[in-house]
Amino acid sequence: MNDLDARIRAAFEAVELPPDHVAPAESRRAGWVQAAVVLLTLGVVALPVATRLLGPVVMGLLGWPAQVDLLLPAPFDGVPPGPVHVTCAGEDLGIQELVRPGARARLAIREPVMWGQGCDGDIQLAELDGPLRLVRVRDLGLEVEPGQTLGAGDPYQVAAVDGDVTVLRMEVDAYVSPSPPVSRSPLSLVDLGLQPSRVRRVPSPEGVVDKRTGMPLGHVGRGMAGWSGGVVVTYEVMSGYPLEGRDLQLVGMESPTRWVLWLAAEDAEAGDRLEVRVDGVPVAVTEARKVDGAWAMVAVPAVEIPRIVRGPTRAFVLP
Amino acid sequence: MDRAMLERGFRYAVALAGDPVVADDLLQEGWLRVRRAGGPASSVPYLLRAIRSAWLDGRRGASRGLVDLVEHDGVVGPEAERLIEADALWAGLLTLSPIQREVLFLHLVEGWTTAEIGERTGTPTNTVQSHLRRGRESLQAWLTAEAAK
Repeated sequence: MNDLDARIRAAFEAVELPPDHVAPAESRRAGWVQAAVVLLTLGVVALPVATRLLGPVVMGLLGWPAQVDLLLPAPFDGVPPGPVHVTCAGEDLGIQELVRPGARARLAIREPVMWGQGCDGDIQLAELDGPLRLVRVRDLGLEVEPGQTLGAGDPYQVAAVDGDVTVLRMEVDAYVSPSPPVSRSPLSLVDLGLQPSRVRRVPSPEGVVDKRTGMPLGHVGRGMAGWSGGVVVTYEVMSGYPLEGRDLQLVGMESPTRWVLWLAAEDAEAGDRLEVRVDGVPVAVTEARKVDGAWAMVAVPAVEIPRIVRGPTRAFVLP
Repeated sequence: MDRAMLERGFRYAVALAGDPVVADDLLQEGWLRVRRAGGPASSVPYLLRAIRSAWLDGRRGASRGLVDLVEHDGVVGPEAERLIEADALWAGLLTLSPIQREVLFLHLVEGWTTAEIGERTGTPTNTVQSHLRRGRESLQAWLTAEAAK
């Protein structure tokens, strides 16, 4: 082996598997061990809680239907049924379906992993208010008043305070790369010292189904990679499929909160600022990354995907 | 599957994708495919084939020639920078095509002959030899240019 070959080999061998990589078989064993330790530690008093947390996870592992109805805390009155963006204990849980609004709102959860994070009592729902987004945060952990802006240069503005619920208003673009507002969960595996080390999510399949026809517009592949710290780690990939005859093509996800797609855009050039409109209603401002004829590749907040796939969507160049 | 084997799979995935984060995903997907297919859990060639298959599927998934999120398009992103931090030669390796990196890896690190690479990747041996030669030449040219700076 000559010197060049030796250097090439050394370069490849300098690459090491990340120490936090979840080797499925190993992590599953480790997860069971940790889960057993947790159950033993908690003892009889906390057993119902542990069962509640881990039961759906085990169901998911066994391949049983993963959809679980979660009763939301009361403060979410007035949120209309439909897709909502959910975060829990700081974790982005993507798009879920709010099936029953009101004082005892019901959220259809399709991911067993969500239960494993102690979601009840610490859920944020997002809805649009024109170009701004309202986010309800339970137990913000700060004394705030309406009109107050949080942090220097922080885009969050307090819209209202109702008991332990704070309604924040923020710009859409600010929301898509969140560090979520501080929130406290009454009980989560994180509180027990267990951290999900590798959770990748994409919005649920509803996000890529044409609600008018029921026809799937995209494809969500999903696999279960094992356990990590007692939490089921899901591994999901969305592949881009052309949406024949439509005005957009889903490409993939840049991050759990930002999806990339091609949109019909007249006279756009790479680098242009574009306003994405669905049925003529602006939903996001983004940048044309690439242009191919009358198409522009853009990244948009994942939370907008359900709206975007349901209506005619166009991108318009902003002055 | 032991960690040493995962390490080999990860390096192979890095060679293909040129990005450690994508490689991490490819390794997971490859492992899942081995498991779903009931394949041998201790066979490195089997794992590497599954990783390669996952990588190719990722490229096909975004066909139409528009974009491919998996494909490295020559722009070194923040994640690829991690490779350069591990070894400066990666700055040159990232200028190669994925196939050239793959062949270099399989030949120089895994020790496969060009015939074995051809057989296991479904590529004519002559083509493998060509990728190997061009990969070395490109890298040598890059090193020479770097030295002249």
